[in-house]
Amino acid sequence: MSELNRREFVKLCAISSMGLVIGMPRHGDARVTAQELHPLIKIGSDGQIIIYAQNPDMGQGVKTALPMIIAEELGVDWASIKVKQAPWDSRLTNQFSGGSLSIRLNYNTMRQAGASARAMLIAAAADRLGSPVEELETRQGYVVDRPGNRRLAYADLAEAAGALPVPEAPALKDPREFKLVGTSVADVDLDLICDGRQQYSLDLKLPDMLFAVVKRCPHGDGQPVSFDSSGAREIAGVVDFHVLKNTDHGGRIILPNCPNFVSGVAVLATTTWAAMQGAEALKVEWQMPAARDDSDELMQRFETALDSESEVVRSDGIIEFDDQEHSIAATYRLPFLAHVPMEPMNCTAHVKGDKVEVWAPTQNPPMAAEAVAKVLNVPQQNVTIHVLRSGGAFGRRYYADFITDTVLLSRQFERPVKTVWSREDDVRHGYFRPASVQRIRAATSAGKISHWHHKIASHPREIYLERDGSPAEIGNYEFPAGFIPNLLFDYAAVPARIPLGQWRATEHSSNVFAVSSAIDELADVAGIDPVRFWLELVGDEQFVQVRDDFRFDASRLRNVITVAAHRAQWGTPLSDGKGRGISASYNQGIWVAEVAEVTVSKDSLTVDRITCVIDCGLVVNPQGAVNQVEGGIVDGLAAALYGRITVKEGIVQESNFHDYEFCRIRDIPEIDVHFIDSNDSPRGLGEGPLPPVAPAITNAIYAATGKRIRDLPIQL
Amino acid sequence: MIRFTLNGEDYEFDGADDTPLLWVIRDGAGLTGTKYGCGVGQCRACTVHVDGRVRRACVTSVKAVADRTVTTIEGLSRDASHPVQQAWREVNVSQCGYCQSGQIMAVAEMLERLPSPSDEDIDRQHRNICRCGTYARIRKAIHRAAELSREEAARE
Repeated sequence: MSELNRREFVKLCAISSMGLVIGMPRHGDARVTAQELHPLIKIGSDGQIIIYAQNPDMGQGVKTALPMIIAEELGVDWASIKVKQAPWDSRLTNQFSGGSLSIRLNYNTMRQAGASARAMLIAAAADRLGSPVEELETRQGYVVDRPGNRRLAYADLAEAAGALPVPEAPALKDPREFKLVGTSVADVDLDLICDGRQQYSLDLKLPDMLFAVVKRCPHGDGQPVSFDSSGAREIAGVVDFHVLKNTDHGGRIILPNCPNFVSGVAVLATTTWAAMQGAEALKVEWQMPAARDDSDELMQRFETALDSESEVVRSDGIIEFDDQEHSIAATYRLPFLAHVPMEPMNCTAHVKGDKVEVWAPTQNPPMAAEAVAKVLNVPQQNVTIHVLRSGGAFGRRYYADFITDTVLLSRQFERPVKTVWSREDDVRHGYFRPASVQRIRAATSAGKISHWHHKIASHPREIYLERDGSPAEIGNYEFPAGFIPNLLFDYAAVPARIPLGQWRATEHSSNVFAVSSAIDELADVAGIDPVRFWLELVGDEQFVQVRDDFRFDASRLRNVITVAAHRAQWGTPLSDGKGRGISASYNQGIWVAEVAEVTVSKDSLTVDRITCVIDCGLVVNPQGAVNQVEGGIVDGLAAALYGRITVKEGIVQESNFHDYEFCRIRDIPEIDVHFIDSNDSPRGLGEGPLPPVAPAITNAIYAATGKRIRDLPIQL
Repeated sequence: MIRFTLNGEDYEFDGADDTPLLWVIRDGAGLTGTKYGCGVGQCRACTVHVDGRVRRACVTSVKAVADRTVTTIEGLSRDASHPVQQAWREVNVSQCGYCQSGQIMAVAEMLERLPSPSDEDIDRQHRNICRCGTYARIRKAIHRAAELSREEAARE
């Protein structure tokens, strides 16, 4: 084992403490001026080109992929540029990471950013050289005048270019000419991650900073009545206490731009450990709310609601089940799920008068800024949000609860404050993936699905995405809408007070399980091979008009199914106890098919292989894309094998990784990821690969054993 | 006062002797490569070496390392050149990266004991959680690191 000598050690510490004081100019930087050509592109007088990653990176790779798109159009050498994370900037649009939208929404704007800066640099060069723009081209950070055999560095042109108007519609490259986009690039933070120097929000330390741990009410709607700090005060390092009540700020509204923290008592201390111990020793008397849900009882209410009045989300043809050829009626049950990002929730803030500076692992900087402005009653332009690389997020950091309580504490103590959550706080005070009970009745005619009734009962999320005001956790566009002549989607909302939020492929992570399971069940009773049955359902048309404004490209779904079946050697014989299952979906903008191969022996399940074929349009960074897909598959596997949040008397029962388990390396199958070649505009990959995992596995279990699993997590 | 060696340097801690080593390393010594993930020894994001063996710093009290040698990710190699770090970069293992210093520390020690682990060895011995699910790459990087270590040994 090599060890550091003293000099190296001092140097390392110097590096890490330098990194800690974010926002301070590094020594020597004062002389370097930077010319902004776009909010995301700066060129220093020292020649350094800096490209900012617009959207937060929580491990999905957009800190690499978004700047790649800019660099492609800007015409610079990737190795020569520096990538930084953009702080919240009100001039930018779509500066959030969620819904697999970072790439999908910003592909064109990133291209335009790079192309407009490039056009400005060319115009400045034309002026300088007296050459017509048409004779100039760019090459690796230079504007080149080929006929005149002259070139000018971007750095030398930046100031003049910055004074020029920004072109509205700059010429974009032909994607077939791309040199960088479409090639595999290492994550920009890879080196820092591998030597432990990557700074996460939890690593941040500001001068004079206090550490806070909030003892939160076990029930998210409860309030502290009084507290006894006598024990906590005896802990060395404990400094002070402060009551935080969400009722002082409008109560707990679960929207991303609201001060929605759980009420409690904060313990302020000089170290993280002292604050943690202080919170442990603090005694708080709580006022618990009257409404106290129980997840098991709620599942019963969902089940009952399947037979009650419901909201019709979509209705095509006539739904009657009497004398069809083959039919099924099956009920599927899905639990609440937590996010458990590896870096526990935390935030650092410094409120100075009416100015606020926040350092946070947030997925949603604009909404965080709104929430902070609301809770402190300051203008939004007074709020600075530094976006730090998140140690995972998966939807949890879309909300501002962990930020709003921190800014209140910093204002109270007039010092920088870092709030640290324990893992137990994180598990107990999540915004969970909705649990649901779903029933599908379906029937065939001439070997094809003719009738389909999918009814969902759940406690709806309190934010409504693209739902036209309806709380339904099923969209009228969802598969197989448009593919079956007689089809009914309906939804029964069962009110409860368990906090819900975005999760990875929130509703699809549940609905695709029911849909893909039911298709498999129906194929079985009809005596038709599941892949053939899927292909019959998808049909031969290229497009299916699902809604006036949504045309489903069925050919792409057909293609991923066909390729996945082929790659997984569908139909070839397997030994006893083994089986294959297929599942497919169009969700979050991508077409995905997955085949699972499992071995079941006695009561033990081994997932041997998952084949995943995806059509997501152009793949910006193939190595990063494969990583994302593998991650989504592992998350889907964890949901299939382990995930379940239980609530009793309104209090979450699980608390840490021993009772809310996640996959470890022994659980991981061989994973084959394949992308369909496409020049269509790129889509996001964060979520789409997850939903088909569980049904591919349960369908494979059925193929292996004849046992149908309809409840998650899987119990054999 | 508790004294121990931290990445080759003498380190003194003057505080409650049941303080978890994790917080001494992070808040005291300011070495933040060692991560807090669960606090109960489940996730192993806090993996460090004590006298060359893997320890979970969140459930190891500072008194347990008195007069011992503690190595964190910052001290694993002089210039991030440890075969495991090399392999991790080659394979592009990380997603969010938060757990990776713990993964790297755990694997570095495993390869000391098991220079050529089989997949079954890895399944049995490697217990660190990666919430992003980079496991396929971790496995690949473990095999690659083993190969790099053997090459290094052959050169020496």
